[in-house]
Amino acid sequence: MRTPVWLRDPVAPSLLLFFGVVLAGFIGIAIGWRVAARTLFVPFQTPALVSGGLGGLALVLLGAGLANVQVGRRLAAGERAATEALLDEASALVDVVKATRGLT
Amino acid sequence: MTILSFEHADLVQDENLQPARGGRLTRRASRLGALVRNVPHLDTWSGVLLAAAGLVLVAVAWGRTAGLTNVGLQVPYVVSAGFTGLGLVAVGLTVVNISAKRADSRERIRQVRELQELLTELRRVVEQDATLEVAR
Repeated sequence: MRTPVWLRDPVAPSLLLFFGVVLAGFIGIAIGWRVAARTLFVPFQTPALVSGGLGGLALVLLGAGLANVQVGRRLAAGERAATEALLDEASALVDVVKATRGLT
Repeated sequence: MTILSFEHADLVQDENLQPARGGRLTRRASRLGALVRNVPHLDTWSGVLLAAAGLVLVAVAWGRTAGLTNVGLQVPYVVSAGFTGLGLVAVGLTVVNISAKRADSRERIRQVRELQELLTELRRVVEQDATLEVAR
């Protein structure tokens, strides 16, 4: 089975991990909801609210934030590669002009 | 030497890919995927829809809890609809942010490549002029 093109990207494993963190966050919220819904006694609901609800929300924010940073880095790397190619071309042009002046 | 030795590639697709081998279902799925990918600013709209869904969930949580006076009955709605809604808003905002960054980056790279092509053309012209000078 051929590896999809997007999986060959170096940032794909980390993005998959961050997606997993976001998913774990939503699962945590769901678990917190299940536990809180089992009882009407608020002191028993509060731990579920904090651990499942707030903890899950924190994981979602963490995963989303890290994915944002990683994609930003990936895009910056792509731009650096393009700028590097531009600099190489500019350098080659300077060499040609210098060689031309040497001839005339 | 840059860390990444490959050309800047779209994270989602590569137009030079050979069509996947497979049955009718795979071909239909590929066609549907191609149709979906042709929707303009699809990723931005996806993010906006996610954020909107999150806000709707928050509104649902508010509506449900406002109808109750027993805190024990309110808490599950806060957790399920409220926190999930917040999570979806955060994910939606992230998707919108990423799609905006990608669009800006694509435009910048296009400009850099255009400049590179102009420099290549200039170098060719200079080399041709030098060759003509030598020939004279």
